[in-house]
Amino acid sequence: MIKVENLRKVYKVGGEKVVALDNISLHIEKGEFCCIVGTSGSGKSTLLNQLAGLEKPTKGKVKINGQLVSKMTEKELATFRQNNIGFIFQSYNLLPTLTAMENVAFPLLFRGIDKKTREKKAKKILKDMGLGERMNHKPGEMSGGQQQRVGIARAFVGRPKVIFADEPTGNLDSATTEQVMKMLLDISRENNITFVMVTHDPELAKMAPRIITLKDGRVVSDMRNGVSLLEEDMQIARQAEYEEIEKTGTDETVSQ
Amino acid sequence: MKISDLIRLSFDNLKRRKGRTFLTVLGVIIGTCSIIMMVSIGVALDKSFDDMMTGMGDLTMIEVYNWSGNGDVDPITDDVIDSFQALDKVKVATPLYYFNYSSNFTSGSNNKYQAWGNIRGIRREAMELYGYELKEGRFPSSKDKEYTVIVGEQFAYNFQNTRKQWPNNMVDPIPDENGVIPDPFVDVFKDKIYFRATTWDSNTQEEKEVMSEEIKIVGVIKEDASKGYETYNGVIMDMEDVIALEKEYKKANDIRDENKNKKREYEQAIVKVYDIEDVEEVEQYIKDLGYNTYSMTSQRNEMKKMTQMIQLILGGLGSIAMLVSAISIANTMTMAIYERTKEIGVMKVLGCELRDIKNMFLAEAAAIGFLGGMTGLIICYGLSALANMIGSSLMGTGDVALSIIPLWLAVFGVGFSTMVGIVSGYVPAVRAVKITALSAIRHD
Repeated sequence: MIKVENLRKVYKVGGEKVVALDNISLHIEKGEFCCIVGTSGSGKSTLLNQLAGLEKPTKGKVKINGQLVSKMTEKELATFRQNNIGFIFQSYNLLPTLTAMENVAFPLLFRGIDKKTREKKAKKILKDMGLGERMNHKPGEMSGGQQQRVGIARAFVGRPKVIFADEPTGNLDSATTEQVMKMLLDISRENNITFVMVTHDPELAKMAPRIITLKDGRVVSDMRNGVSLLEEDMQIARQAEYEEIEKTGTDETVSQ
Repeated sequence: MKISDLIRLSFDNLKRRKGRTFLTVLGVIIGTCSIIMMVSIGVALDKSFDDMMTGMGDLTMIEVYNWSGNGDVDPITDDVIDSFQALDKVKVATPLYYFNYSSNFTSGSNNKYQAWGNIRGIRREAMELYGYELKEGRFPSSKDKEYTVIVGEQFAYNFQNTRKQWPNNMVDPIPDENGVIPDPFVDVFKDKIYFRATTWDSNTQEEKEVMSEEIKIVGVIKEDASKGYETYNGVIMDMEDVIALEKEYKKANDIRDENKNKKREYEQAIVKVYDIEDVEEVEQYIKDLGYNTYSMTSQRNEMKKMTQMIQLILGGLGSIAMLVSAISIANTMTMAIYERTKEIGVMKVLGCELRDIKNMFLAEAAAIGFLGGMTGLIICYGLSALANMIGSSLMGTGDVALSIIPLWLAVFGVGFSTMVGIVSGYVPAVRAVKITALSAIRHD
């Protein structure tokens, strides 16, 4: 679903070059739930920005669903986002003048869907998320957790192929955090949506099946269900397998 | 994005900042008012000139003279007038002529009643087209016998009773104490009326009649100062008849006809065209032949040029206020974009197309212009009515308008203010488009 090849991003700060991402290659499968973890300054947010096409990489490619996002013009990106991408923000970024329902329906407005259909869809998803009572409340009248659930509903309402989330629980307390995280896992699994989120909290990341750890702009660990996907680790794993076959004399594992 | 959504979103955004929107709209209201009021004064001025002109004469008429005084230009002869008549756009062409000698009319037994009156010569077929309006009777036709004429409204009151002493020798068309207008001595339709010429016979020491021709009056026309004094108390006669009468008069009085073998030359001719729009072309054609012309339309065009100039100056003055309001719209929109940078970023991340972002801001600016224009227009109607009320009470006359707002001005006023909104919103809108999606996740 998402393919990253030799991605490099260099910022110029004053006269100095700062390497934010250094030669990153990744592959995220369709329907996969993926957490990008790392400390502040590790480049995790920069990576998310490149993936979502919010910034252009210095070098390398980002492909989503076979389309080269890293080379798209602003105009192409707008249409692409409209049809393929959902986004969840750390600070919710709801429009303060619109009600919960109108906020959720907002991305559908860009697609030119009529008001009635939009609101029907928005109402349904809000009810599913337990916000049926808050439909006509403005963001200011809701708690942080509720606001973020509205934000999540907004990301899912258009049934995108990929959702990106930038520290979606960053502004929430720990109890709400867990609740929201579970909700994200459930909805993306149910709808078979590829989900990529950034967090600084390794404990939270452990709830995800795929965890990519960044440090100083490099991938230092990439685990899927406890198995490393890094090239050198895979080589070691293959070597171990080979030795195992040598020992037992069967080729059962290889034939699989 | 649907247009309905675009408009709703723009109005939502304007409502969000009521105070600032109000102030900006107020600026546009003042701008619109100043333009509309200024132009409306110009329009009123133009209209009052126009009314004045129309009151002064026929707009489709061209007067032709030959003042050149040299031989380069053909004198105005019947041939020249016929050539005018032959032009496509000309309805009628006729000489205007005054009978050259004193004209004395008599009626009653022994010429008891006598009157003096000018004889106006004009082609018979031109009488009605020239604009004489019948009060009674009919116009002469080609079937009538010689000297069939129409007379001015008060011609009958010219007759005096030569047998009576002043003031009983005259009747005036003035109502008496009972409000009744007295009848004249002569009934122009029933009584026989003669054109009479006399000379002083030195032998008998008496007036001697040398000529007497019966004049048949078939119509009385309304007085019209723009046509001439003959409409008041003159006699209007077919050109041919005037020539015949003049010939006879000369013969009777032993006057030698110097121009006997020459074509008759006229001092003045009248050319009437079908349409006001044709006046300029025909007038120019006649001018090019070397004649002098005068027409209400060319006077009017000169006036028009002047009033248009005045309108332009007034409109220009009004535009200054509009310019200031345009700057204030641009300022408001720029501020809005700075404030909403993050929001625009979010919209971009959510997949809002670039043109929709641009259109959204343009729609907001247009809405400011439109609201200001509409409100301004309503205020202008009020101001205009007020100005006219005060104006007419000051001048004492009822129907003088100081300010007129025609439909075109109303449409133009609102359209222009909306346009100003869009134009001043354009640069900020383009700027909004350039805001990056990344602004959505910058924490500040």
